[in-house]
Amino acid sequence: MIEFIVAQIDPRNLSDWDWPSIVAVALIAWGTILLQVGMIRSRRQVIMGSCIVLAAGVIAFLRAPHELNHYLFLAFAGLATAGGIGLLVFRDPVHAALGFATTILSTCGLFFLQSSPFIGAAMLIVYAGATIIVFLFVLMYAQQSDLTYYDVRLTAPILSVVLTSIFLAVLIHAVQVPGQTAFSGPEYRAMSNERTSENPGNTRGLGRSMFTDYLFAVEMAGALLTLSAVGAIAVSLQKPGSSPTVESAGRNE
Amino acid sequence: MIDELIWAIPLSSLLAAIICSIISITGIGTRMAYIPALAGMALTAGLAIAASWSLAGAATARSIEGFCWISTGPFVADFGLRVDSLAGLMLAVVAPISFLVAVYSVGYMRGDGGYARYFAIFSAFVFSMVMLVLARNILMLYFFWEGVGACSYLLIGFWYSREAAAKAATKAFLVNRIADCGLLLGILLLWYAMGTTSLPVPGGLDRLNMDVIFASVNELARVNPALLDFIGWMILLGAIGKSAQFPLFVWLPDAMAGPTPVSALIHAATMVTAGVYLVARMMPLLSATPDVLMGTAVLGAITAILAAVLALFQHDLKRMLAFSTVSQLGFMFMGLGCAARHELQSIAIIVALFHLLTHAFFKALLFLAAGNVMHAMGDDIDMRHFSGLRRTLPWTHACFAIGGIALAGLPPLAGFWSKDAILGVAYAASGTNGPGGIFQSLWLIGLAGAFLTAIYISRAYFRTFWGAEKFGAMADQHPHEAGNVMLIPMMILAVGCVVAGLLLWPTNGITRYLVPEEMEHLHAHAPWWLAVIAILVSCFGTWLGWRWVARDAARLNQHPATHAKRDKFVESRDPMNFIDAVFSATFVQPLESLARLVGIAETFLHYLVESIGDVITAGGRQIRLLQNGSLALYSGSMVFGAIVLILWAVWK
Amino acid sequence: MNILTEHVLVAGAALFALGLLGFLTRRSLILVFISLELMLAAVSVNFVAFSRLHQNYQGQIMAIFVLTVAACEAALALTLIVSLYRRIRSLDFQVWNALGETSHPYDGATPGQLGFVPTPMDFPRLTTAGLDPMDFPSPVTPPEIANSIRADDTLETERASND
Repeated sequence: MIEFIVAQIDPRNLSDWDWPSIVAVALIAWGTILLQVGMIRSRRQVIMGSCIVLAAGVIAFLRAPHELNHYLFLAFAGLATAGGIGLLVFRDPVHAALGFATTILSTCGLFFLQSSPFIGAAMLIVYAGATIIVFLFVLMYAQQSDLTYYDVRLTAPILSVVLTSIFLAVLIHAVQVPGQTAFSGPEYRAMSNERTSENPGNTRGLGRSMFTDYLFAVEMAGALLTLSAVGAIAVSLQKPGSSPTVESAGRNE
Repeated sequence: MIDELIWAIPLSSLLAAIICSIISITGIGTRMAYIPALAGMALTAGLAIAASWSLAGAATARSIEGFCWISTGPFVADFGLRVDSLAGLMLAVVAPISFLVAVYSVGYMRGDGGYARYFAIFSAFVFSMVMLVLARNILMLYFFWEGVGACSYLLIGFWYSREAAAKAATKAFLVNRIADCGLLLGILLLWYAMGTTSLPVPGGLDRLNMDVIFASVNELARVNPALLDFIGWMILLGAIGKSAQFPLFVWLPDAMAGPTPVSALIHAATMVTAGVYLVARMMPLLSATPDVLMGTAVLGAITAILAAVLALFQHDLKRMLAFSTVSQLGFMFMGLGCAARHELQSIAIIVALFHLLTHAFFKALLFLAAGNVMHAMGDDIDMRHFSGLRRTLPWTHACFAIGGIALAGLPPLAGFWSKDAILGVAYAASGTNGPGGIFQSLWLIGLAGAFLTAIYISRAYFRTFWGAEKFGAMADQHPHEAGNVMLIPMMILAVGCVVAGLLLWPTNGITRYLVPEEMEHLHAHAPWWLAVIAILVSCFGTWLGWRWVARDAARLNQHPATHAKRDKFVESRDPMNFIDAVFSATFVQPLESLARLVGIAETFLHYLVESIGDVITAGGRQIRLLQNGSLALYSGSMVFGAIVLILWAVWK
Repeated sequence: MNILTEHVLVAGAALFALGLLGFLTRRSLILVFISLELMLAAVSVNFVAFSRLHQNYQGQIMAIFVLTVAACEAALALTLIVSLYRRIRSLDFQVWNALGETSHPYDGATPGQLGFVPTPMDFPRLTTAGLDPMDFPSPVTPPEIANSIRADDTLETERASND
């Protein structure tokens, strides 16, 4: 364990790390902390956090190869990240939901870039077209005119940010640490570069695979959808106050 | 006879057992409980006689398909029947005598609280015994072997509120357990050993099918003779446990705590002969291990003489008959052991089974007569308390006399022929070649045993039925003969005692039935003067027994005080007490000490286990606080777990 | 030069972390569920990247199933949220902690409520080996111990109902 950590900070090994993206991610994390704390604090912190996140974007832009697909990738990934941050930091739930919509749309862009047009389209239709609209409906139904305490207050923000940062670091470590996983090393990069230049995105092939290899799973998914529709209707038909646990539910209020 | 009808022999008794159990549990119509039992057993007996009639001379076994019992991987066991003349003879003995004793029980057990329970267990016993006889698979044989053992346990402890009965049942069960462990070990080893041979086709995958085993005996003996020898010894261990042979005979005398018909049927006529049957059944296997057969003969002779000596010292009529049973079973084992001489193999089985048959008749008769005496004397069976019963119990007296003459071996009753046949085979085995010397001494021991048998049975007979008329303190004012329902089965048995030997031996009927091709060899080995010696010995023994009683009576008249003292002396010198003490010192007490030691350890373990439970309970109380309903805590812990998992996967 | 799978994975990880952070910190039920959806979307990004890397359809099919399950989940979750909101007019998920354990087993719940019935604990006890069961007949808990256990239980039940 100790030898491993020492080997990780050894300068000779550091060259293998993809430093710019790590710096970018770290900046995003920092900015998020500021923005999160800024949710109930001053506007200055919001500006500072936004600047830091922007700086991360600039770094990522500068280190990227100057090709169109990389610019598009950066744009979509940055937009998605910005949407996610928006989901975190906007006080108004409607704004937060719109941030989520931004993220989903950008993710669709990422799918297109990854030559998976069918997934991208499906995501666009299902999420952006249906789910988010329903979310907004519910928000409008359940949201009072002004902000409530639970829109403004956070649950253990510092602890959560620390935990999430560690989690993110571990994820990036898993993706990037040299020689430790399948996703690193020069030969892997070469393979990745070579392979991803081909085109796997073929809706016809996807459909054939789904309805031959995964037919049972597809049927099960269909059953699941039906069941959830029935269940949703059944739950929503229930009259409020018919259950004896209403009184005891909010006992810690 | 149609093969499928043979299934009906055991199943009718099983049906009777089930009906009687229902009656016993619900308590409805308890007094009528004997009707289904008698009906089922009558059916069993009738079908069994028909089946055994059709099996005459069928030395080659025939299989009757049942169903697949166990099939787990390589372990396959079929549940089927196998009939040949040996099984036919056993059926002819077991089923009719069971029926007769059941009829006797109707009168004997009348008014008992457990009337329905008695008939339920009785029918279950008949079912198990018939299945044991008919079993095709040796594992199935073991299953019903345990079944008759369980029924025996239940019937010995039938009056479970009496301490003696409960203890006797436990003793019988435990002693049989030792033997049954051996038998089970033998069966499992046999299964293993059969796996090392190439199975012949007829039994399929079932390695414990008797046909398959017997067909591959030669290969077994070739592949691993030592293992086969061990298997043979284990089978013999099982047999001596169930058949109460030395040194595992200690349970049988105590087993007389059960109802007298049970003693007559299970502990004299049928179940205890299961060991003899097992050895006879396994003879094709055991013939490959002459050492085991030799051991059978030696153990049988030891038991025959030892139990006869012990019987001399008994005052309890039933207990004396129990020792007599042990002794007679010893004779059967001795006869079976003569199969160690290969040329005598078939004859050994014939004489042992013949003695089994005659013994079943006369010993059941003697026990039932003793039951009558006991009934009349108010549950008192001590011979010192009564005498001269021949006027009070005339029919019982006649039956006991017939049974006693048969047991003593006086011609022309059944016992003479069968005992003479066994002694003849033992003499024939004592040729010059091979282990002849041993068989010569066995023959002498057998003769001595026959002599002692005549003494003790004539003593019991004269002491009980002759002399001055005297009743025990517990008897009614007017002791009376038993009812017809009890007397008629006894008379049938008495007729059997008289005619069975005459019909079956001088005419070679038993040989013709069991092994027809042995006809001409049979009388070649035994010279005529053997029978003369046997008759002389028996007559002398009988006279001696009579003299003993007469002298006792004379002394009692002249010096009552001295006689009482001497009687007490003899009782305190009952050698069985010594044997029980030896058993207690060698087996029971060390095991009890071990159990106490384990008990101390268990006390520690008890507190250890309790404290483990306490720690876990206390920990659970604390950990429960984590479950506080806060989603943030749950999801945070989940993230923490995910972090650990990913790190483990990466750094692995 | 093409986009490396590695970079897509990092982008997905970042999105996932953002969703996770939202899940952990936001208190409004709707936003918590939106954060959940964000995490699912991030997972889909990864699946698609793998699909492209391995040149097969498995990752894409997985993404489709994730989409399906997410749709079902959204439908049910929103129904439940509406139903809960109709009960107490609040979207704060911290209100809904009734299923948590509290410091005492019977705190806040009278016996019989929530299907909880305290049972007296008299386990059978066997005689220790080596002792004659006739001399130490204790096949069940001795009555005085059983009574004391029951007394404890009654006490606790009363305490609980007083709460």
